[in-house]
Amino acid sequence: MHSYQPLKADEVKFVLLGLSERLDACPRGDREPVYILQCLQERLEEIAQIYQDEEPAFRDPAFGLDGLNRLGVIMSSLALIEEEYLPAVAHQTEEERKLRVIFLESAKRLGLTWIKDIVVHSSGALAIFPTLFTVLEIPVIHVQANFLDKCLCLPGAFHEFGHSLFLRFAEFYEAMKRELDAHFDALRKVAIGPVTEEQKQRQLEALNKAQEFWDDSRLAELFCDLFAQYVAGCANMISMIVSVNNGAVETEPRLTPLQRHGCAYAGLAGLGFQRLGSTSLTS
Amino acid sequence: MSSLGHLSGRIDRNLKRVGDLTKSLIAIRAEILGKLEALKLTPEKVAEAKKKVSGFLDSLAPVLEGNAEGDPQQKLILRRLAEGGRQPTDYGSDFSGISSAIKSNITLTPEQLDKVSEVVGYLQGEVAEEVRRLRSR
Repeated sequence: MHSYQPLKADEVKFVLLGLSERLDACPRGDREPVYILQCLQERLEEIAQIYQDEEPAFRDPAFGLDGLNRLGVIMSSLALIEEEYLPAVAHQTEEERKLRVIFLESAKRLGLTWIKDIVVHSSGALAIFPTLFTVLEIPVIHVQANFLDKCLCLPGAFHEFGHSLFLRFAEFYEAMKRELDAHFDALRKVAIGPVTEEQKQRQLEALNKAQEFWDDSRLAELFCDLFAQYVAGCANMISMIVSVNNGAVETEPRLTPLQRHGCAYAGLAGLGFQRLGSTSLTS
Repeated sequence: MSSLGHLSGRIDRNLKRVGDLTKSLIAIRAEILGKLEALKLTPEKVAEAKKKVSGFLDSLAPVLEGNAEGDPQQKLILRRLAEGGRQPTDYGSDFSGISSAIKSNITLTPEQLDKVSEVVGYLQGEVAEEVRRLRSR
């Protein structure tokens, strides 16, 4: 371990230098995400300063696991810049530039004032990387290639903006969690009738399992679906059906293919159409 | 619809928490080794680091001793200790003692600090794993 630690320190130093050079080489024209490049540069300089201050510990075997843990944290921070941001900012296509303007305008109209710039990356499924080192100012929005041609998928971006909102205001999560806990507490009181102790335990176990299902990741997704629905109404429903059908979004990874096939999105959309009186569309 | 939005938020939170803890452990270790000057650390910074670590241990110890449910990171430590054939309750009582020693300004032994570094290492490994998961998404 004593020889490994200085080698790891060298690796981190090398990555810091390489990232700095790659950021310097990024184009900085009028239509490029220059603000994001500046933020990344500043963050990289901060990390380099931290590394420099703590380097004596990384090179001293007496610090042992503490030095390695610290280097691991620095490497993870650098990996976020290298893998999430650099591929997106290094080369912007014409479509990504256009989408950036559209998304920035949408964020402004939604009142998401903390978003200062956005970088769009045509990397696959529609998704957002909303926060970098606790800063929500510069999200990366991932889209499918030729996303502008898939205009019915565009409202899906509101769901992604919901993630930024959910992280910005912890109150949403806290309120949902309170509601959830109260719901299951009430169920525990009323749902279990005059049954044997064994049946009671089984029912309690089932209720606990159901409550655990709604972990923070699922509550976040639910919030974002509701937010998108609130903002875009019927357009969001259409977007959900189209996006799920053409693979533009990832669906719940923990569902079986059969469950995914008849997923809640389509159900919700169908219900919406029925309420709108467009029953023929649901078929 | 995508898990990325939530995953990135979690990575960010965990990275900050582990970043603070690893930085604090470096400061405490530097004091034990008498190397504060080499790392330009002041007694104030060390005191702040001790406060962070004792806060971390105070909330972790009851979880390891089976007296509290714990957050996902604390549950992870519990699981990793059990998987490694360690006795979580022993670690819990050790951590209570270490936290008390920190609060009473008693100098920790390197072995005591090694135990804390070990469990913080589990958290660091988990963050690195989450970042890798992001890559393979």
